[in-house]
Amino acid sequence: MRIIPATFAILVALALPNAVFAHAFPRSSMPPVGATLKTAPEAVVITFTEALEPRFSSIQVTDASGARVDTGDLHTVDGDAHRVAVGLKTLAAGTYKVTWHATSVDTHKTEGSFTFTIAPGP
Amino acid sequence: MLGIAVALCRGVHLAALLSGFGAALFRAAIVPVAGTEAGAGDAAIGRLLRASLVAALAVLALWFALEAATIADAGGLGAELGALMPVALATRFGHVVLARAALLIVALWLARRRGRSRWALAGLLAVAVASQAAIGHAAAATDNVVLALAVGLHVIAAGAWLGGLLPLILYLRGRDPAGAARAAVAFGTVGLIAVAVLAGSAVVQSIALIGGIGGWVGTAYGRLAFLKLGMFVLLLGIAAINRFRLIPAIARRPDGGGVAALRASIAAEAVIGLAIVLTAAGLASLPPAAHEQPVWPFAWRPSAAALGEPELRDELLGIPVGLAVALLLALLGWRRARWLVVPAALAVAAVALRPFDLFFVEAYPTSYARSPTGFSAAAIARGAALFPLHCAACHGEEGRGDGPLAARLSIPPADLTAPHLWDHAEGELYWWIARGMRDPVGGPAMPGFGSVLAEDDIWALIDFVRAQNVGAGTDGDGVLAAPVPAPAIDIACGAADWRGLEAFRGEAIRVAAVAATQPLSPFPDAATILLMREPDLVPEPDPVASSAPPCRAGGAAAWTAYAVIAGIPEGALDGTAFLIDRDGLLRATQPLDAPQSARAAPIALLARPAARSAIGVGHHH
Repeated sequence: MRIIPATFAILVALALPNAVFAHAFPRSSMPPVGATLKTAPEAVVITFTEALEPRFSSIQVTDASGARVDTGDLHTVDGDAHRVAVGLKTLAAGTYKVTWHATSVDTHKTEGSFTFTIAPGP
Repeated sequence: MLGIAVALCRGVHLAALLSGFGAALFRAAIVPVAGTEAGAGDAAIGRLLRASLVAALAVLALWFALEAATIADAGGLGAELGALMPVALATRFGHVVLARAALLIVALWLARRRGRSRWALAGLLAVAVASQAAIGHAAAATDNVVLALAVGLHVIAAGAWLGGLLPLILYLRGRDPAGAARAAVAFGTVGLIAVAVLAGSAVVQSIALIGGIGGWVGTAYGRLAFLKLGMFVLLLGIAAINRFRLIPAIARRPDGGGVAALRASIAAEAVIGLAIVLTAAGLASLPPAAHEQPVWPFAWRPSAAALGEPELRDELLGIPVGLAVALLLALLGWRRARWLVVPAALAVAAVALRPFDLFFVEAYPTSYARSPTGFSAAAIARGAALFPLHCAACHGEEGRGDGPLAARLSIPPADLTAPHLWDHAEGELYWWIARGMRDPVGGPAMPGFGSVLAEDDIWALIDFVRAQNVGAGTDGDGVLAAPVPAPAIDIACGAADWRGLEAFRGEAIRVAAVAATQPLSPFPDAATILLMREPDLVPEPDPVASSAPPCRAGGAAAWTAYAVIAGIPEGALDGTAFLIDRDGLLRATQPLDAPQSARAAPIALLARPAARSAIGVGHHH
């Protein structure tokens, strides 16, 4: 009978590492939040804390005047539903705003935004 | 409004599905054991089974339509109709609903065939029930297989027990006392297994979705879970009464009155069971407590920190000793002088329990709040910019409690470099910064900054102060007194290969702060990440070296944060190495060119897991 508490302790321990997980929020992004880049990126890639429904999620990138500079082709990266990317037009120097809307596979929605800057070095 | 309708549909669908599965299982497992003579009850269970499946199918369609409208943000009927197909075909939720609908249709066809394939039908419906694990909160935690398994087992056990209650009532109707008792006892065995599975899987789920006591008490999800737990305990009580009172009483009443009483009791169980399933649907529609900021409602919270204080330990050890003496006293004198020993034992127990309040410490609404920053380099750098403006006047530029205004205060400001800073819960640090602190006589000791600083600014300051504390407390070898999480940074390992630091979990890494790309001496004990103030964020392959170039991280914020946690001025960070273990904990900071002899101790640390990190240890004032 000792095997039952032991098995249970293992199950609990396995469940623990994920004790704190958020609704789908960015875990990391390219470009990083608030980053200053020397070269213009070709895409914005965001890695989320949960798998997304790409069909019902979006990433929009706008320049300082509010004009869209993304190509609107949101897709997952390498088939991993945690990572979604959107292509960018050729960007000039300046500050850009990334606005994301995420629908997680549990159908809950989150949204947020961040900026990055392109400043070619000397 | 839509949210409530979705939750209600979810609950009613789940209840009907569990009822259908429970009825199918009852026909397959209980009826043959209890006696094969076909009573009127058997046909009634068949009707209940088919009605449950039809209801489950109908409400599933309604639930799907409402959920599709929510997912697609459909405003009008046209948009709603347009959303149905994409949601059905392109989402996980849609796939599960389609699969479940198909299973239900096959189950309806099987249910019409009399007598045969009862186990096939029960198995089919078990799959439909278990698919609950593929939607909802458990599905979102994709890397947590144990949680998904727990949810699947939980709903199957719930169906086996709660879904079997109505079939049991129907089966008992007009049954002779001996047959009724046999059926009830057989069902009790199923129920006992189900209760064990329900409780075990609930513990796993509560750890993942609710977390600790803060989540249970301080969030709507936790309190609803409490309600569900309370109803579960009530059900257990009724089940125990049935098992130990009502079932044995059946044989004593040949008029069938015992069976009627049992049926009424089971009906009460079924009503509570329905309430539990609806509560479960409510939980599924709320954000899990582990995602929320708990608001602690009490002025005190439990804390075991006192056990760690040597001068209090003796007093606390007196509690079990005193209680044992009281118990012994009561047992010894119970026969002869109850009137004397019971009051005496109570008095001893009361004295023993006096220091019990040491297990409670002052608490605030934010005591269990968690920082949303993830100890990111960006937050530490933001805090570094705020600290001189708002904090340094009293706490001093380096946080040592020696700012220019410190002498004017009624009690000296805290030395933020003291080792125990990390022992304070981050939610309590938050409260002190936002609301201020009072000195022992009630006068203001520290002003609150809640009206000056945004929430995120306060969390950023906490990250900065903690990082600064690490920098101040690191010894000469560069080995951290207690491991802390390495500040989170974005890392580029290729033009399109971007990761967070957590992607390296399971791998020892060395973050090397360098002013410019330079060849580094080989370091076989850990993978190297270059940290640069102004990185060219796309690493180019090194034409000379054949191996892949090291991943790069950087930016001004990352540079600042790592300088703070190293306790080194930003200008002097070039040439510093940070050793991070497999759990993502920072273990040591050293010069990149440290001699081999100085490297040995930190490298040995990388190989073995940290006994404990500095966080969440608890601290008693």
